[in-house]
Amino acid sequence: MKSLNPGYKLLSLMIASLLLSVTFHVRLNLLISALCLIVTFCTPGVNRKRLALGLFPFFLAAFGMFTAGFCFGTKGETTGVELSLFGQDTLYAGNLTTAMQLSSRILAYGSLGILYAFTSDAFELVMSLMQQFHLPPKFAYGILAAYHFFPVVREEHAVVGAALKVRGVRAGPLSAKRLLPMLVQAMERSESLAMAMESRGFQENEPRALAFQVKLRLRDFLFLFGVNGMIVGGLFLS
Amino acid sequence: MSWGGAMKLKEIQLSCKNLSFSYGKGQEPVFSGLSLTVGKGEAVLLMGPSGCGKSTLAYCLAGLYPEYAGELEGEIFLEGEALSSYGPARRAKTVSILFQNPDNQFCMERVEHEVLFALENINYQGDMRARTEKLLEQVGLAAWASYPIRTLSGGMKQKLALATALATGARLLILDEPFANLDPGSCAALADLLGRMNRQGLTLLVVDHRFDWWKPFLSRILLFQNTGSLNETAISREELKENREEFVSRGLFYDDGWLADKHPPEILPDAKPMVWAEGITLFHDRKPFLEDISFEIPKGSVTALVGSCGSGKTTLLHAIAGVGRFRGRLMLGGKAGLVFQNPRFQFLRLSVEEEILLTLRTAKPKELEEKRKERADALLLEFGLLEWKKQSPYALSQGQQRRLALLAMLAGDCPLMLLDEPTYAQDERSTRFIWELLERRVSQGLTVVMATHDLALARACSNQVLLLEDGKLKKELL
Repeated sequence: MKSLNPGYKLLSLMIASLLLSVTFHVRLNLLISALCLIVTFCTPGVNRKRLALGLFPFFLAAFGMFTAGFCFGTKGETTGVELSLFGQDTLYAGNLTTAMQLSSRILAYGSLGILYAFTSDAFELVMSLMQQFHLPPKFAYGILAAYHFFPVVREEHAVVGAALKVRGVRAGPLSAKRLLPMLVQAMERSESLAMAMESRGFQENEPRALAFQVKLRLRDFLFLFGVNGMIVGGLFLS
Repeated sequence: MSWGGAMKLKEIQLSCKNLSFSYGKGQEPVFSGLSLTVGKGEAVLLMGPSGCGKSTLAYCLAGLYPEYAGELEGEIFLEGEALSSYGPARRAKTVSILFQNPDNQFCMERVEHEVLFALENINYQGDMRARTEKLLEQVGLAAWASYPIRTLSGGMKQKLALATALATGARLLILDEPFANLDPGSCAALADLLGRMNRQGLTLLVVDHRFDWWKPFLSRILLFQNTGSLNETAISREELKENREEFVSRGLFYDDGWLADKHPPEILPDAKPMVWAEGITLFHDRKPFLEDISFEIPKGSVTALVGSCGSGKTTLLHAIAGVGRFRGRLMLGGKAGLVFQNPRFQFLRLSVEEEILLTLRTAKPKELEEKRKERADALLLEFGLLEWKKQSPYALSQGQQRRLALLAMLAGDCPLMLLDEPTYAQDERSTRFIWELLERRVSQGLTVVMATHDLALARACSNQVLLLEDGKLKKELL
């Protein structure tokens, strides 16, 4: 899974999400969820503790949706609403059905996202977006720089918090008092970084050598058509 | 102190004539009618007071200004061709710049990727991996090729910046206070490396407050002035001694002579401890960092914390200030104020006056606002900041910001002041000014603990020097 082209993998999973969004097929949702989680779990190098933590919000949301749908369903009393799509009952059919449809859908979306997040590398994704999807290098390297600044911004947030505390000023984590120095720092950093990139020869629309090649192979197309073909097939077969 | 030897045209690497720059239309120019010539293979050091415009000139000569800020008049020539005719990619093959802050100059995650990025930019046609390996070996970072850049020390980051500059093939390197964030060990290693590069033909134009590290391979020192020919101010290595007074009168560091009349404060024999720590363990990112350290700091004393970058000086200051995690017994004799290395993090208001008033309001909430304003004015006058009281703290020069940050803390009447690198990146005059302000407060009973890389200052002015090394408080020199 990790050897797939991250740009095409993202495209495949986005199409899969769109296909799932036009239906309320419970078994298909659950099948997709299970497959994604098994594949993620079995991919070498995946941190299983972090995987469990990452899944927690989705299961919580799915449980919440299940409870809401189960306890507060409309029992199909609404009129003038399409009750069937792709031959299946839709939202207003009944409490249990509603609950399962809502929660399984959350799980399916979540699992697709988890599969991607845990088996893809951010750097390779940006390189793939630049090489296969023609993202301008200016944006690509800008995104990478911003991504690498996350830990720095987190440290700065703590430093500004400490400065406020020492001065006896109370401020919440998103208070303007805390954000003002961070904003000034961020503006300076972005300018400094742009200057640094330029002084290292970065220039848009100039021919560039390619040091980080992200390949596009047959397996990427097989994944794209395989996953989405399976969903479409599942929808029509049911 | 004029610069002798007429330079042949083909020997000139960089020159500018009648250069004028201002940060905006109608604003006073930072410099005007400025001229300068740098020969191939030279190592030229540009010195001047804090906030005089040295860095601005460096950015202009590197081709970054006026694209990023301000308005420039006059012409800069790089290897005989107008700098304005170069595009960034072509320019980088001739001139590159190292910034003061090593953290804000990388856009990739890993060491080798950053060098590869530079090679990509110049459309390098050879074996990029092999070239990267060679460059990293050249700067002594071969073993760190696959490391995330954020895990490197400040000195290593500057070496990496140097490798990326060399990757573009730059023959002239402009360095803007590259030692500002480094400990003495890292400074020595980087200076040695730059010296070697210079001997191999790399031209260096350096902006710095001290010449000590550059002296072994220095060609000339230029003393910055905001108009005229800087070549006229040139001082060669051999002429340094006879020009000592010139440095002193301009408020620049010549050596550590300004510390000659400095001495640690007298501590009363029965002085109570202001800080008392026993067996404390400090944490950084939730991991134990400095373990089982004990020390005592008497009231009215000055204590210096020394150690390499990342040794835990700042972590210890934060723990004493009550904003860092620790385990063990730590007792204070009063409220602690903390001045950060980067004072910009602690400004909370949009005017200098409001910044001081905020502290005064917090310290004495019942005081009348008028009286507070009077006190704020008196303090700003003492700190040489009164004429900027309506300005934004962010618009002040670096030296003024440091003074404001100190004042914003001192105004709260804390009996204990913790300072993180109080003299960092400043000229002698600003350093002396800040130190004398502190001395006055110390004579009135203030206790000072400062983290510093300035060992001469630590030795001259401290009652005790605490050395942090390998996660331990190893020595206590009295």
